[in-house]
Amino acid sequence: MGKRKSNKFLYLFSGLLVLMFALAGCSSSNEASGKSADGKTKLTIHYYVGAISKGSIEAAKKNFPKYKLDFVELPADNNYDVKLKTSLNSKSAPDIAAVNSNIQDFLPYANKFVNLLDYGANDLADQYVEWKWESAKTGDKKSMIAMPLDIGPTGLFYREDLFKEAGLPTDPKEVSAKIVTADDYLAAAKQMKEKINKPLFLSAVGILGERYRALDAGMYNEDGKLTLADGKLKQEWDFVVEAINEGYTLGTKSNSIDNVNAINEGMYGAYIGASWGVMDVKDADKSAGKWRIAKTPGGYSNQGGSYLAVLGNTKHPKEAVEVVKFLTNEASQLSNLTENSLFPSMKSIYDKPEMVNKDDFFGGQEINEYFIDAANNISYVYRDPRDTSAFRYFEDQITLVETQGKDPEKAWKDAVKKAEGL
Amino acid sequence: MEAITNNMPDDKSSKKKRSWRGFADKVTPYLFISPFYILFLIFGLFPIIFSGILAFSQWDGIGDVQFTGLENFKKLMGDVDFWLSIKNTLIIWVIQTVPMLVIALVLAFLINLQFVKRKEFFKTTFFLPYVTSVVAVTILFGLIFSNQSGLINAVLEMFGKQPIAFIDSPFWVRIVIALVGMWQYLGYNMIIYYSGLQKIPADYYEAAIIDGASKYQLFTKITVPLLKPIILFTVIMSTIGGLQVFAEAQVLVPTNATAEGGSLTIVYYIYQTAFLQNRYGYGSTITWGLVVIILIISLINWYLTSYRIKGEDD
Repeated sequence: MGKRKSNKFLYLFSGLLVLMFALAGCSSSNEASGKSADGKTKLTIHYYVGAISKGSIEAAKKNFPKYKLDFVELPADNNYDVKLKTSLNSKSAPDIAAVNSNIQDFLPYANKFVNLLDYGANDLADQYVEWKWESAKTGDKKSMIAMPLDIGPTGLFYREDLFKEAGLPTDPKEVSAKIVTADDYLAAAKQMKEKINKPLFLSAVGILGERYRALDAGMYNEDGKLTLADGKLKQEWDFVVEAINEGYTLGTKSNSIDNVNAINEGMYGAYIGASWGVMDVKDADKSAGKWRIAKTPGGYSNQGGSYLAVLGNTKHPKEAVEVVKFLTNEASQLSNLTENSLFPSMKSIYDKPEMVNKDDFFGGQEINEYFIDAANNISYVYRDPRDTSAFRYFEDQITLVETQGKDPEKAWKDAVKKAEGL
Repeated sequence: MEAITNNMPDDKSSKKKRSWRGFADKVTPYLFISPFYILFLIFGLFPIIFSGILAFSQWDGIGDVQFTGLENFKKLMGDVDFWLSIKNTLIIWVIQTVPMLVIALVLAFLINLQFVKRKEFFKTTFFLPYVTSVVAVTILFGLIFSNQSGLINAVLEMFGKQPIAFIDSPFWVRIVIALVGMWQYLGYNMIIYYSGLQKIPADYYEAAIIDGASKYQLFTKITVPLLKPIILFTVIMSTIGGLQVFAEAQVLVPTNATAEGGSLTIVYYIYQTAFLQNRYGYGSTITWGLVVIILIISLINWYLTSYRIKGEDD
């Protein structure tokens, strides 16, 4: 009798287990309908780490007491984009999502986003820097898929101590006046190599990226033809090849411990970095006080920055657009600036006292001066969705030239051939 | 002897009980195995079929899947990076597997010897690397072999030699990638061989020792032939795992990894194509190319070793 009783118990239990698993798999119907338990409109906002500050999150919740705002923070890695792409086709997607500077990947699918122009976004156009505003629109300018959040205007980060040793100007104003064109930049590299036998640049890949971002055209033109920045990429390539041959590059990867070490040991002189790079360089604490910022030689450029988009499958487009407009308004961007060091895309903030940033790491220099200048002068560049992948082939090849001594002409041809295969 | 109690009286309610219990008896096994099969269907079978479809299509992850027929496969045949990445993978696999399995076997034999005390200590310490995270280990190896501040280069400089750019050189980067795998799986394979050694009867060894065999002869004439099936198992496992090496390569060379540069393995190439370039169709094609390669090499493995086993038994 005992055996039979425990048999019954066993399969009731296992039946319950399976039932449990089955139920856990079903998502709650509340989430799908976009209404929270107390009948408020529920909006889910996905963003990656650092994109939105806590202050602006709290302000948004206070400003919209009738909505339930659910902010979900996700790691800022490759998976974020993969998640965003799968969300575009799904009904249980977030209503609002942050988009990174690779917004060109999503522009061809503008129909999966809410067109902000239909919701009066145009009225806000002149408050933001024009090039960033335009970059959120499709090629035909009929759709705008996101509101600008922050930008990454670049400046020249240079080592004041090494410049002094090499006999180069050290005051930011002087540096900005003397090192103006790409050729001046190369000449400064020559001087640094001759006087103190140190490379000016970190790596060939770094320099190629810097020069590419300063160009006023992308890898493809608006018809999707591979133009290699209207043919200008080749001269930038030659620039970098010359730098490699003359020994102006250290050959170390950025974003690595080696780079932090190289900075600490003062192994190279300068690089063109974005406003958010200010946080990264502080990893190399031995170099505190030795860095300065000047105007980017060879043309203004932007690196990075984010947007806030409303996804097409949202059940409450009107409310979501309101929230997005709030999260990208002056108060929110100011909060992002002070808390997360995110450079605002809204022009009115540039005159505010919070923008003045006398940073001791940079010898007490007011560093935002040059970033503001860049922000106001960057020009809009059309980017094809394949832009990043195509350029990456050139980055790969120039690395081979630098580290393995591959023939630069062959490397160029290989890169072009691969880019054509995309 | 107890009489078998007839506890199934003939009336309607117990007939119902009987049929319900019969039904439940038939269904219960399926209930128990269903969790696995449901998971397998969703996360195993469906992706295999979907990637099979994708291999003949073009898809960027957001838009529609466009069928393109054999175009991807034609591209694959002419893709220099694909063949180079196969070469990289094979080289890494050979450098990793062959020395590791030999050393694992020798180690297992040594630890098994009579005079070795504290066998458990050795077994545990050699096995520990297997339970570590491959990403963490690779980061460490990257630091040790780093161009500027690495430990190895510091030692080289101490002896007056030039520092070697391990990660930049195609020759060395493959060796470093192989070393990570070797370090991790040595203990695991050693334990497998060790348990295989336990099955060899001591009489064989005793008889051989009486006949005057040296330790080396014991090893080569008794241990290795009798361990053949286990060696086959470890070789096939290492093959299937080794041909898919990815984490070590990606963590060691996170950016600008090229097939020419020696660090792009097949799976890394698939990852680049699908997730970095948003070309899921072509990425799937390369994946199926990898399936074919693993199949061919496994068949060769199996044929060679089982043929040899048959030959020994004759």
